[in-house]
Amino acid sequence: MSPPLLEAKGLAKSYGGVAAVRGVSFSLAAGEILALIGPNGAGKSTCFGLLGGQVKPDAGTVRLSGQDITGAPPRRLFRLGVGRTFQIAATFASMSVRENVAVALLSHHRALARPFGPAAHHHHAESDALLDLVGLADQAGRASGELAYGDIKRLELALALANAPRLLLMDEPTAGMASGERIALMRLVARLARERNMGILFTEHDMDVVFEHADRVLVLDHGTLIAQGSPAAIRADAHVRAIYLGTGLTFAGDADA
Amino acid sequence: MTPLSNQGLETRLLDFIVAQFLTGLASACSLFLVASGLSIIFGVTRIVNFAHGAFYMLGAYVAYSLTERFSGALGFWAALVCAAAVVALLGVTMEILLLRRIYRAPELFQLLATFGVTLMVEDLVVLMFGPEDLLGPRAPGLKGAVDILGQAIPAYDLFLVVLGPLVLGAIWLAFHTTRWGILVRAATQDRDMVAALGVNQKWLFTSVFALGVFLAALGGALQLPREAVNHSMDMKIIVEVFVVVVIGGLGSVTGAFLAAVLVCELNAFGILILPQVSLVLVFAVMALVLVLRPYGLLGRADGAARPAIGTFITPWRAFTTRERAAVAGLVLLAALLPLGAGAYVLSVAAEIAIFVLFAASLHFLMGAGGLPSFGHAAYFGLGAYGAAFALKLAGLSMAGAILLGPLLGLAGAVLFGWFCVRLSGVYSAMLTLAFAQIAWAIAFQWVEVTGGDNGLLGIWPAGFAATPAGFYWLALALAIMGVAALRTLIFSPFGFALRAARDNAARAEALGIDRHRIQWAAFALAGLFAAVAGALFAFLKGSVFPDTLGIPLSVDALAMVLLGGVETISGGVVGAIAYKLLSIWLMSETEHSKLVLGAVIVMLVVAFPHGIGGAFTRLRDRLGGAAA
Ligand SMILES: Nc1ncnc2c1ncn2[C@@H]1O[C@H](COP(=O)(O)OP(=O)(O)O)[C@@H](O)[C@H]1O
Ligand SMILES: [Mg+2]
Repeated sequence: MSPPLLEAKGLAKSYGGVAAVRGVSFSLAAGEILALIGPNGAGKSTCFGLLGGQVKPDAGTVRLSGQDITGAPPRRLFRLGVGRTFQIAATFASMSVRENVAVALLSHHRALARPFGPAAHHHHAESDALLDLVGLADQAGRASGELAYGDIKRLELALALANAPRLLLMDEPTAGMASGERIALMRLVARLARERNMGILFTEHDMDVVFEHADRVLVLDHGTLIAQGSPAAIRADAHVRAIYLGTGLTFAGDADA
Repeated sequence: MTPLSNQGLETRLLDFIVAQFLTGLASACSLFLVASGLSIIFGVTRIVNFAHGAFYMLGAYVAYSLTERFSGALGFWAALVCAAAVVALLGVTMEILLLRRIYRAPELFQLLATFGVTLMVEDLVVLMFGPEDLLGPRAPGLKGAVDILGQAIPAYDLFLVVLGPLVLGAIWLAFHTTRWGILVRAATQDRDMVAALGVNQKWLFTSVFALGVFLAALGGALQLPREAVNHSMDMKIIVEVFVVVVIGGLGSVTGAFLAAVLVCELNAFGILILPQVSLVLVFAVMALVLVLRPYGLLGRADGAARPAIGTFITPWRAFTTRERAAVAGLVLLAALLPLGAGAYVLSVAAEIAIFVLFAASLHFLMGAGGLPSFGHAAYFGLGAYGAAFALKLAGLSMAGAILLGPLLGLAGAVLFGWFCVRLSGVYSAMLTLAFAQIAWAIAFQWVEVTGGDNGLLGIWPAGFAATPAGFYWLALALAIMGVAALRTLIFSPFGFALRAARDNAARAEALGIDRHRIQWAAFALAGLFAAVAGALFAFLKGSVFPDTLGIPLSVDALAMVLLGGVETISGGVVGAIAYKLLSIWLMSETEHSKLVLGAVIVMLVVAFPHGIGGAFTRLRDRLGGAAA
């Protein structure tokens, strides 16, 4: 049997005295959509940092298709086909939308070291396709710093898709979006996962979105995975419900249950 | 030698060491006061207050004149405290009238404003107190010396040794027991918290400025019995204070204390043990501390990442056809200058062309790279020395010297840049300053090779460049080619990668960009272009002196870039022309050129918070928008 696309074993990270993540293990198959949920401060973003190379783990290993990538810098993960978005959307604010995408594509084609020739006109067809995909084609010339927040999130997704990743890590990809936008974005991501056999790990506060799109759900609390399973099983889990009590988050269907 | 006398020698040496140590501690007192003020101001407002040295100097001058007026033993001490209070009021005035208008301007722009104030103060103290050194009175009651282990230690020094820790304790108490102090600490640690303060933020900033400037002025006043008051005290102290604040960790008062002691002891003993390297010792230690601890001894990483310098929201774009034609016209006009100008004008024009290239190289580093440098003259100066060595030592022609000389600047930039790109923001800028000082000290002290203070002479242009017009054309051509090359770089894939790394380091890394490598390359390139300017400068002046590596030149370049506008691609070029024209013209027109130049800078800063170039861009966009 071939190894899973992503496999985390015993990941742990503390900040000073605070254990943000303590011994998290899970795996993710190619083409699978996996949701990581948990209350604020549960350690979700830290997990993304550990997987994406931004945070060095204190213990544990991460494997990508069997290859040990524990502690590898983000730029190496990019070359290995990992894309990611950040909880606080990260784009290049001083550049136009198209220029943002140009950076990602130039990097993907390993053309960023060239010191001459205007960069803006490279890979036009590819950047058009990416911008079309996320629905930003009509804003290509705008400064990314002036986009609406939802549009910045979509630009970030375009950047993360530029290297045609096999694994996409998305930390709260729809935060700050209106509900309609949310659904559209997650539908797009789900479609790409099916079409490209791309594995996806994402966090999301809207449980409707989680239960509609995730193949499987991981529940994190105080840095520990307390449950994992199908959306239906997680929805029914008493322990999970207890954690969410009083956090302001409600499970869809609770009202009529 | 008998064992007995040997032992006597050893105890005498020990006594001497203790005495030297106490002298170092006494010097640390003033330095700590000034540095803690700067550190507190930076911690809360994120302003690098260049005028801090000027307030220190003003404290000494005002204290001098007050001690002449107040009589009696109490009068002396009252004069010191009153002087500090008066200067603190001046500081508050500057904060309210000037800095409040530009808090939203790009990072480091406030440094330009406070630099303008510094220039003004330097001329004003000469106008008011005369150019001579002033000797203040000794402290009443502390005039004598105290015998410690057979060494006579001035009583006033012992007083300072005690005062330093007392002030540290007082600040600590204020920060930990008062509501205000807790606010200050919270603001230092968490920038978002400051923004959430709303209206109170204004007064928090103002009160912090009052305290910081009070401490600086008190530091100056306390030096009255120890050293003569003069109008260049400010530059000497500001560099030391930068070093102390950075070693201690920006925003940390205790760090400032430890670092002040470290620096003063290094100075006290360095001169005895290693006189040859005494000038660089402190800077070398600072570089070492920063390499080991990138945020200083007690500093902390900035919680929320702030946008790097040069991040703005108008995307850069290449010239339109029309703009290109206009630039070509200007270049043509510049090339025709020798038809109607004499030798003096041509030499001034050549100097401006050289500084255009120099400023453009710094602008590339700061604007496109987001890497501020307070020591860019290092590469300019190394280029000048490189050209001089190539001509004098290697016997190359002028062409060879201008081609190969800059490689010395490149080498320096490659070496220093590797360290600088690994630090962030102001720390990186301060490390560039330290490296520039090290380069300066080597040029100054390695007399056999560099001629030391006497410099290297007889570096005259040859061939067609021997005439004023010929040299001007050479300088103009190289400046234009250099600026064009830097512009091309900015729009190239490399420039995109560089700007990406500046805008968002995490995103850039996640897109496969090796941020340090790309910034290192940019640092090296900026150094190379600065070095070409420096090589030309050597031939313009016919000589090279350590000044070409000095802080004033670095600060000039910084002022040019900030004045022209970091956010505008042509900012370096525009700023260099404006600044150079203004300062050369003022020098010929008035005795008080610094006063006027400083005032002009302050006015420009308030009128154009995005620099002159930024104002142009905005005007163009507004006109373009109206026409469309
Ligand atoms: N850089 C950091 N320094 C210190 N503590 C951190 C840091 N990042 C996260 N933490 C702490 O780790 C815990 C988990 O945070 P995070 O991973 O952001 O949670 P989530 O994304 O689930 O809200 C929190 O207690 C948080 O305060
Ligand atoms: Mg999070």
